Amino acid sequence: MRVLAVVPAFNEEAVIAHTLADLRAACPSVEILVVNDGSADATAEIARAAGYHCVSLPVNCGLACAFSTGVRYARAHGFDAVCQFDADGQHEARYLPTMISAMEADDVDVVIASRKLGEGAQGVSGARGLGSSLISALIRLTTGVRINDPTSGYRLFGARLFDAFADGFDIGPEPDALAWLIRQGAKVEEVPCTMAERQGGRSYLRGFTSIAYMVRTCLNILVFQWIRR
Amino acid sequence: MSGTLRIWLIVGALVLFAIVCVAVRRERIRVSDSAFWVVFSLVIIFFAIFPQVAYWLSDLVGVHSPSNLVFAVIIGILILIDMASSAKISRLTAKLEELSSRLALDEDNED
Repeated sequence: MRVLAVVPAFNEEAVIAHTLADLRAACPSVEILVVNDGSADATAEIARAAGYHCVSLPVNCGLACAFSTGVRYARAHGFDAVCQFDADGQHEARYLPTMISAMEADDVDVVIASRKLGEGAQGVSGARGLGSSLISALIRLTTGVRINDPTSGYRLFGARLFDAFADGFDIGPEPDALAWLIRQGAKVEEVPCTMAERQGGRSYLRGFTSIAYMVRTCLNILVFQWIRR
Repeated sequence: MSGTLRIWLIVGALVLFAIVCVAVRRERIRVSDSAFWVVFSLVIIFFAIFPQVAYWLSDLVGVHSPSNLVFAVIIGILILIDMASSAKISRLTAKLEELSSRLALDEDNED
């Protein structure tokens, strides 16, 4: 199975080299595409200097747009799956081979690296954990499928979903899209993982943005999922 | 607040919600942008169902008629969202200009 790791990066010059080196060492057979999302710093230069394939969006477009750029690339170059891999060092590359074998063995469309499975289950603390549990409950309520860690950003998507992410209107690699895809017939599996602390950069989910994120996610899962085509 | 006003507020809010649903289905608005209008229609319905809140608020700020207060609040919210939309359009315009200029320069480099 040919897998492309899409690494969206916005102002990640402090950590990008380390993240990419880890990924290459742990998964030598996985191809890597850095999508520089209009960074103002040296993210793209560092990635290219270290010999990685890097495309640069001319202006900052956001995670969904950077990811769909990666999916378009994967579709055009005949990849079988795309992994959404954070540039900030939160995702540990050693879990990726497990995710790939799970997809191959069970023929599922999405494999999520879940922090809430297995022996090392990490509780996500505070408001973030509460939000995650709420989203999990809403997905269960509307699709009947239990996803333990819907907010994990470490996911592997199979080629059957490429068109949705590349061409779909208002669809990004987020939990509400998972719910919608499940209702369209996509099969989801979770494998246990642990996540490192963010090594640098800032989360795009903070303050007011995180409230808007929760409102959008809940609204999409509860209401608009039923009327979207 | 008269019963008629309360009924029309609810009808208006429901129509607004239906319009938002159609726009989402026809891919004319993103869910993140539609969220404001859904919350807004819920606020209107809240005032219509619990007019006591409007009475309490109008006493608090010293407005004689609760219905006037409801109108004032609605107008205030709409002014705010209009400002936010203007700001968003400005940012988008700046981005579009940057994008166009970068594309033009890139094409020039390729020649």
